[in-house]
Amino acid sequence: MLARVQSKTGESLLTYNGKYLASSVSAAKEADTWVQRCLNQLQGVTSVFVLGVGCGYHLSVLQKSKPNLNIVAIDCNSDCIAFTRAEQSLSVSDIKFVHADSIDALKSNPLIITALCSFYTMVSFTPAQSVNLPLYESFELFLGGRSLEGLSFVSAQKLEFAKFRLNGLASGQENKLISIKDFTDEKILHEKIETKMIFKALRELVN
Amino acid sequence: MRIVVISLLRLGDVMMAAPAILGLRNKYPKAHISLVVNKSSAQLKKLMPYVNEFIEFDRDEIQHGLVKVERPIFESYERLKKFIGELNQNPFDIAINLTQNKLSGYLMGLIQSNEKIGLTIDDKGMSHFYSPWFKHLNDVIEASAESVFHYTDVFYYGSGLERGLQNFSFSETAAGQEELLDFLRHNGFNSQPKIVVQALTSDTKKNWGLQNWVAMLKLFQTFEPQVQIILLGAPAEKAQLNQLVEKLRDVQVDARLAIMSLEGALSLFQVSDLLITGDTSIKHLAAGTGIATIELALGSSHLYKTGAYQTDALILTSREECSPCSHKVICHRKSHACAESIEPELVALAASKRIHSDWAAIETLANEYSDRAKFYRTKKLLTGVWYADPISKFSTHEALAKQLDLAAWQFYLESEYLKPLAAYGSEGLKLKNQLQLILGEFDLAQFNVILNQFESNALKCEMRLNKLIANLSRDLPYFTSPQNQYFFSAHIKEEIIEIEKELKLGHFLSEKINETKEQSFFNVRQLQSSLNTAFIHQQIKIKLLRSLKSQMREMQ
Repeated sequence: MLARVQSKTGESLLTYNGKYLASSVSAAKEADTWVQRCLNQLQGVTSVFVLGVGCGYHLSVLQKSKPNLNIVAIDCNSDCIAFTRAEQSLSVSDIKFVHADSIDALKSNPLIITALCSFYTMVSFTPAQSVNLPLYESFELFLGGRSLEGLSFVSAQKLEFAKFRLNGLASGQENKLISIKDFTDEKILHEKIETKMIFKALRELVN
Repeated sequence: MRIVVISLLRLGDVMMAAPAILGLRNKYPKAHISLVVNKSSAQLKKLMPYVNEFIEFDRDEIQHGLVKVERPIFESYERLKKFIGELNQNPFDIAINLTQNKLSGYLMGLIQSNEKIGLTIDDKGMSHFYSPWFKHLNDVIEASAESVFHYTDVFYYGSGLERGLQNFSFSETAAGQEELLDFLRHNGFNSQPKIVVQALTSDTKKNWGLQNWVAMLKLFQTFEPQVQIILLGAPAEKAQLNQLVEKLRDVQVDARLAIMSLEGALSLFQVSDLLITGDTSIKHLAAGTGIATIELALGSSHLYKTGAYQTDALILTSREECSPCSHKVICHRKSHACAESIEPELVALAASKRIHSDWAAIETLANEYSDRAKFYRTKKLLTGVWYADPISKFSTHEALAKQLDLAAWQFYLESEYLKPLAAYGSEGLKLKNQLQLILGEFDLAQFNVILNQFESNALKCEMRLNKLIANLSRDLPYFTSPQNQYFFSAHIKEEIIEIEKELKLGHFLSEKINETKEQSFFNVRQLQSSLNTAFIHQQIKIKLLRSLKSQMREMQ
């Protein structure tokens, strides 16, 4: 159950069943710290999925720091999205909000598909995920292509990997987490030369 | 003209490449030179103004993208693809790989350049080196063989640069000078002599131990009370070095802590008289300054590969059989034996003598401690390579063997031996002049005995190699028949192992001799190629020896 409260510094916040969806002391400071930690990861990417809208302070700081970044913010609770839009308004005007309460909802959303076609990364705002942590974990694996279902969906959006097949993984390995080591020479045999060489180079970084 | 140099190893390795990069700048004054490094090496930017552009390879971020489950699986792929795309926006005229690992090999395969030098892996997975120097480096590293050349020389000559013009040059910056002035002011330092001590290295096996430093500096202060002692370190080392300062204070040694950037450290070296260090990148930074250097080569430090690259550096190393050990292996001894064999008294005395450039006294010290430690004095040879000359009255044999090896390999790698009128005569003359410079007065008769011994050994090796190569070629068709599991007979395997040991070729050959026919025939070809190289090397050595003997005869 969502409730409206105030932080110690007077900011409007939400709680879910008593748990704060942002810092109860200073949501703004927490947002600043969170964005600073993400900056390196965001270097060079075109799009970012933010898992967890919560109270939206982190999104406001993120938009300000990276005005040209395509930010797609996902939350399973539409009230959080409405709250953020109302409270942060202009400072989140360029952010694309996606309300998703299942993997299927992600699959059918054009904003998700557009971002998946680009050079994207993914960040989590953990305080906002307490509404339904297992769901966000499944979103993470799906959008990251780390589950078989996710890999299949993500690679289908990328022109480069339209013919991509990770054959031989499916039987008895439905719950397997995909890693770069699964992209062996045999698996990527039919990809372009440049693609193959990049995967070989990447495997050296985990060997 | 656009040149890109790839140096994706550690900070010290990038510094060791400085003479090669400066050499490229001198050879192509108008070229745009880009240097691809890991982020941690980008701090060299201001110190190397002869590089137009530092391109940072964010290895950490790419690795995080691969290993962290919360990161998208294709993120690192896109990141690397973007990196390559940006590099290839303007294709290069020359791409040089100074990193000897597969990652760099694949990157070279992806970079667009008219000419490539150094390890390049093509789209079929084949490795190319485009330079005998880099092929040699690869063979030596793969085999854990004894290296004759310093990495700086390999990088330099592998890049196709002119003999003997290697020069370490890092530029001081205003920020570095400011850092130095702050330090000197804060500590009330004046114009008295100063020694800089780099007590910590990045690898515990290479560390001498804080208690040794305390004992050494206490003694040193009694020998040289007027010399000011500075402990140099990076910010991450501050806590440990503060401990050292405290321990020194307890024994009434006044040492001041200098936590500095590379820029500050470079300026510090310009005003100091002696640097004592382990195997660190700091010694390479010091190489271009006038500061005298003593290096303690412990643990996995290979002094011939990475020793302080300057003239008249003093390198101390242990006589322990396990030294140098492998990087990857934990020390198997009950105590840190190689560090223990270098006594604080020895280092204190050496430092006191070195600060006064008293090489005669250092030689006496070397002879006195010869059962425990080895002393080397570094030089630049007339043949244009770095060399660590063993200091000891018993070292003539070792010195001569090493220089012959260097000369023969250099001759081979420069493909001089392929010329119809190969310059054995002038090379022999250079060797003779070099030996006279290094050894000074020597007993000609005794020397000739040693040369004859070397020639006899080399001839025996040449014969054995010739026989082995012939037997291999003769037996190979027989062993490719289906009944035989292995390519080689037991007798040939034995012979290969013995020759490998005698010629200090590491384990490259013996690794290949158990190849079964399910494995690649390519490896067998590699074995034959390595044996051929060893054979040619012996032939060159014999000819150089004969040329040297002829020069010696003219002296009589």
